[in-house]
Amino acid sequence: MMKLNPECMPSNKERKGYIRGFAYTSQGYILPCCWLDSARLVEELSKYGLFDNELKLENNKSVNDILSSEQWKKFIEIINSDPDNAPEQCKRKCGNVS
Amino acid sequence: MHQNNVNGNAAMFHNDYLQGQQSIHSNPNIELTYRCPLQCPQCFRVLLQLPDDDPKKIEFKEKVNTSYDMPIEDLQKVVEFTDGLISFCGQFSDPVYHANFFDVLDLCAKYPSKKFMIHTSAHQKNIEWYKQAYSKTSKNVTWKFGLDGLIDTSPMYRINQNSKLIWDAMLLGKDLGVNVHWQYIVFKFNEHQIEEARSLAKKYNIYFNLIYTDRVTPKTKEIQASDQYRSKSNTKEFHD
Repeated sequence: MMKLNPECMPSNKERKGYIRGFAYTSQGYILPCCWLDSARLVEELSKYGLFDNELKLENNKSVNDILSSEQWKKFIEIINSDPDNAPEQCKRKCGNVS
Repeated sequence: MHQNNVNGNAAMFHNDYLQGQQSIHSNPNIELTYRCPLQCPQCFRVLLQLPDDDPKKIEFKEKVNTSYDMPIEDLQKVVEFTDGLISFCGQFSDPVYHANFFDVLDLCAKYPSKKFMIHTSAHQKNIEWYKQAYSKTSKNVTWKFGLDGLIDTSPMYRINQNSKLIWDAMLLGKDLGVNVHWQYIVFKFNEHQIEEARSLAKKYNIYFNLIYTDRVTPKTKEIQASDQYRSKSNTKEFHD
């Protein structure tokens, strides 16, 4: 059974002593972490809406507006409650599969 | 009832997430630019050396072509959101190549309670450039230089690096009271210099950060460190 311990969640502080921070990409988007900032992952992450144009930082007043968007709420829910449907890179980096 | 629980959990996860990302325990990673003159063999930039019709090159080139220097007002949004250490650590670029890098330093100085780290391996024009950059560097900013070995060996991985200028820039920074860290990734070609590097760091009071990496590609298999200096899973860091 797939299990994720996302390093971007506060529970990682207890496990590893830190919370993996979000990443700002050279194309102006915020991503959950730098492990997801790769050209080969764009297509997969687009399915979660993370590259929707409205989520570019320049199109928002604050980072909070982006992280509070419906796309992000859904994404956070998936990595916490529905790990089978999380991006493959999340499974590789924060999951119990290699 | 069940749906309420699901929604409740989702809201709880989201609140947790936001609070965590805003806290001092989080460390956002910022790609300030898309430029770098180095050709480190494990960097995404090596994809640009593939044949033009290679899909990996096409998708990476698309990313580079649609990249831009981070607008200062966008950086300000990040700074105002988080209390964590903000790392200017490129996935494929070097932060000092942001077209308005001195404006970045000016912004950092405006937020003395926030912390910033500049991860840089690529040399800038000359030592005068660093002198000017340091004059704009506030106490809440740390410069972490990637010098993987000593001057003679670091460019074996950091291809095109003017390692002498990087070393001089590190010493100048220390002289001027700037926070300077030395990041040293262990490869086969620099294993024999670890102790000398550690002594030099101690002599000049530079924080020394040794890295055992688990990253390897067909191009770097020959230079990967021997077992005792290699991480088997995820990167390991050692601090002096």
